[in-house]
Order: sequence, then structure tokens, then C-alpha cells
Amino acid sequence: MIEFENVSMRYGPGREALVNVSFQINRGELVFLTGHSGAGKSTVLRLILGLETCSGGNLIVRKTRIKDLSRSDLALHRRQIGVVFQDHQLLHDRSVGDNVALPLEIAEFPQREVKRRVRAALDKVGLLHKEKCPPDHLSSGEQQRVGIARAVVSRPHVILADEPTGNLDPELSANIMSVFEQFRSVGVSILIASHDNFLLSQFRHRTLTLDHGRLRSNA
Amino acid sequence: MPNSRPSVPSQAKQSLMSLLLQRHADAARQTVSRIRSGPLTASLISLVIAVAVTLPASLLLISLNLQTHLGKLNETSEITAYFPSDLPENRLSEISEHLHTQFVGIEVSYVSTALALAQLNEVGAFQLILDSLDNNPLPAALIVRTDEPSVATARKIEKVLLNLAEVELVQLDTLWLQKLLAWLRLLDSLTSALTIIVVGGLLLIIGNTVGSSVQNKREEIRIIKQFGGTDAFVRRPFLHFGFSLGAAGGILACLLTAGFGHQLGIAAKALALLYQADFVVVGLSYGQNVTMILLSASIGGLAAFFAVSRKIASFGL
Ligand SMILES: Nc1ncnc2c1ncn2[C@@H]1O[C@H](COP(=O)(O)OP(=O)(O)OP(=O)(O)O)[C@@H](O)[C@H]1O
Ligand SMILES: [Mg+2]
Repeated sequence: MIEFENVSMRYGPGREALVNVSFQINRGELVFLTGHSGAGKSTVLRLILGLETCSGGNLIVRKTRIKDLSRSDLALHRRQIGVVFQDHQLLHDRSVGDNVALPLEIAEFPQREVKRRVRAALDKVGLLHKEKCPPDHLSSGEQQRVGIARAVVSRPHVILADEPTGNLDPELSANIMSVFEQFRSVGVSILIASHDNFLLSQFRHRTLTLDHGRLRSNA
Repeated sequence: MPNSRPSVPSQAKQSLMSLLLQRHADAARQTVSRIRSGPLTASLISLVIAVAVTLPASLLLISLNLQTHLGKLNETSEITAYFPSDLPENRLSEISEHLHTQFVGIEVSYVSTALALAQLNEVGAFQLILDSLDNNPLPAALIVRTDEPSVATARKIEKVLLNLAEVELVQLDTLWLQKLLAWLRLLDSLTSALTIIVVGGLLLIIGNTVGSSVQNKREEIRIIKQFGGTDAFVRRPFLHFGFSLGAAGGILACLLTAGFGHQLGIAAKALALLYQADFVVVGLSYGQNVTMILLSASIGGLAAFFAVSRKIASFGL
């Protein structure tokens, strides 16, 4: 599903964020991505989304090289991916429900379907009662869960989550993990970037460890 | 629970028609909320557009009314076109037929060079001069008379005649008509020049308004792009916004022009008393009003298109 072949990436001359990273994530697999702050976790996710391009190596998602995608194909590629951003990235001038609806509106789902799916997604993260609220009235953990609902609402092939449990207590973290687990069981590939040791030890999944942009372990 | 396998977001689930409807309903909803968030700006811009469009529209109104009404002050009008004396006669009858197919109620008579000479000979004073010439110097001429006096028709006939390659000179029977037509020509080129300036101004005003609206939505656009929004998807609500601004301006301009026409009518009535004639100012037609609105709206859409495209490119998303 996702294939890194000796991928390198630098943000500028001498600013190496990733060096020769190679790994694979299969269909229906849930993988953790860990490492110190600044190790390059978010960069891996940004590369998969096509928000950055690698400066060396090959990055293949669902059998296509991201580099080869045209502008409009890149947009279609991104619609297949549900993403949770480290800093939430919610739109503050619309309600929680409308935020969750965004990926569906972009993919031009019929209005009725949008309503139904948004409510289902919010229900999964336990925020159905906040549908009409502005995101600013939510706690940081609640905003994070809105981001998670938005990532899964379009039932994507791939889910990328950047510190999805950063602001959640163990019980909520377990809830969110079970949501991801449900998607994994129907064939979705999931990559979760986290340095939450509790999460990593409690849920045993293959873990990629980055160290200064190099892949140190894959176990 | 995820219901089934993850499904590809699919547009095929709904018909093209309902998809298009939904797209535009969405965009319209966003336009309404954008206008609601800055009602003063939107209405001020519409008013500026309206005033700008009213300028050339009013000139057009004046020109149209002059053409239809001033002709009534005159009796029949007569237009003479002169041709080289060696032009074959059958070409002249061709031209005459051509005029008959284009205009109803006209009378075209042909004055050959020989006939012209004969007519001059009757006037005794020219006899000596004419006798001293070796060949006939007089040009052939077509004289066009219109049954109903109308400046507009006279202008059209003049134009057709001037467009002929062979014609040497076109003359109208009365000086005042010639002067009027010259003024009308000036008015028309003034209208054209003003229209070009106004179109340019509208492109700038609407482009700038939409551009700053895009700038304010930069963060939103970035997030939309991250979730796979295409350029077209990002552009659509802004195109609607520009189109709506243009349309609103156009509608207001129709009202303003109608108001101007009404004022002109009051002034014309006073003038009509002096001339003991009767002229009523006719406003722009239904079609002309619709054209004005559509034109203004299209300019709005076009300006928005350029503004959004330029902005998105400058964001580098
Ligand atoms: N936009 C950018 N421009 C320049 N350098 C950047 C940019 N984004 C990240 N970097 C650098 O790339 C390296 C990897 O950053 P990245 O965000 O991937 O780390 P991370 O593992 O996600 O860290 P954290 O756990 O703190 O989120 C860091 O050294 C960072 O300084
Ligand atoms: Mg990060």
C-alpha cells in the first residue's frame, strides 16, 4: 500500500529531514512511527500526502509514484487518505459538523449522505452532541477528536495520524485506537506517528523508529 | 463500525445534473455567507459597479433617442452617393438592388453622367464651360430617398454606401442632418471609449475585491488543498462571488439608467413644447437591460477567475 525506497528529504541545503528511509506498509496493517521530536515523523506523513516531495529515492502509494502525479491527480490521491494533523487544523469559522464534512464536500458527496456520515463519524469519537458548536468552544482533546472524525469520515484507503492521542487521557486514547482498529480490520492501512510510550506499549503493533531522519528500527 | 470496505468517494452515485446543482447551491450558500460577513463592502462595491456601468449606458440611451426622434423634425431625407464616371451601369443597378433588399420604403434613382450633363446644359450659364471640355467630367450618382424620415435609417444607408469600394462621396441633403450624424458618430465613439474604460475599471475593482477575499481565506484554502480539493473546487465560490457582484451592479445600473431616462424625459418634454413637436424618451429595451446585467456579471466572473488563479499561484499550494 505504502512503499518507501531509500527516501531522502531535505527542507533546504544542509537541512536533512530524512535520510535513506525504506519501509513498507501493507493493506490492513496498523503501524506506529516513533522517534524524538524533530526526528522526521511529520515529514514522513507530509511526503505520503504529497505536501512535500522527496529529494531522493522512490515513494509509492497504491502503486503510483507520488512524484509522477499531475496536479489534479495529486488532489484525487489526497482524497484517498484520511489525515489527522498534529495541530488539528480545523476551520474556525464553521461548526464542528461542517469541519468534519469538509472531505465529503471536496469529494462532492450528495448532501444527504454527507449529513449521515458526519453524524456517524462524530458519534464514533463521542462528540455527536457538539455537532453545531464552533471548534473554538472545544477543549484541545475534543478538537483532536474532531480532527480524527474528519480523517475517517470519507472511509479512506489510508489513514495518517500525527500524534492523534497527544491530548487524550488513557481511556479516550483506547477509544480512538479501537476506532482505528475497526478501520484496519476492513483493510485500511494506518500509520500513526506518536512518541506516546504508553500508547506504544499498550497496543502492540509494528513500530518504525526514526532517529535524526534515519530509520533505526522496524519491529 | 465501518459499514463495509472503505469506498472510493464517488460522484457516479448521483446524476450529473444533481451534482451540478449541488455544486452551485454550495457556492451560492458561501457567497451569501461572504456577503453577510461584509454587507457594507459588498453593497458599496456593487454601487460603484452600478455607477460605472450607468455612464456608457446613459450615453447609449441619449444616442438611441436622438436617432429615433430627431428625424421626425425633418421631412424626407435624401442621400446622394457619387461614383466614378467610368463605372459600368449594371454595377450601379446592382448596388441599387442591394439597397432595396436591405431597406424597405426607399426609393433609389440613378443619375447617369450623360443625364447629369444634360441637366447642367439646361442651366444656360454653364453652357460655355461645358462646351470647352473634351469629355464629360461629371460623376455618376445614386440618389436614395426614404419614405419615412428617420435619422437612424439615414445613418444605416450612409454606412452601407460608404462601405462600397467604388463610392467617391456620400452627401446628405441637409446640412443639419450631416451635422447631427457627425455628432452621433462622436457620441458613439465616446460611448465605445467609455465602455472600454469601464470594463477595465470593473475588472480591477472586482478583481481586487475578490483577491482580498481569497487572501482572507488563505488558511481555509490550504486546509482544503490538504484534503484533496482541486483548483476548480477552491475557485468556484469565488467565481460565484465575482459573478454576483457584477450581476448586482448590473441590476442597479439598469435602475439608475431608467432613472436617468426619466429625468431626460422631463427635460425633453420642455424642449418639445418649444419645437411644437412631440417626443417621448424611450428607455433601454428589455433585451438591452438583460444584456447589460449579463455583461456586467460575466465581467465579474472573469475578474474573479483571474484574481483567484493569481492568488492561488502566489500561495504556492
Ligand atoms: N517547513 C520546514 N522547514 C524547514 N525545516 C523543517 C520544516 N519542517 C520540519 N523541518 C525540520 O525537519 C526535521 C523533521 O521535522 P518533523 O516535523 O518531521 O519532526 P517530527 O518528528 O514530526 O517532530 P515532532 O515530534 O516535534 O512533531 C526537523 O529538524 C525540523 O526542524
Ligand atoms: Mg511532528
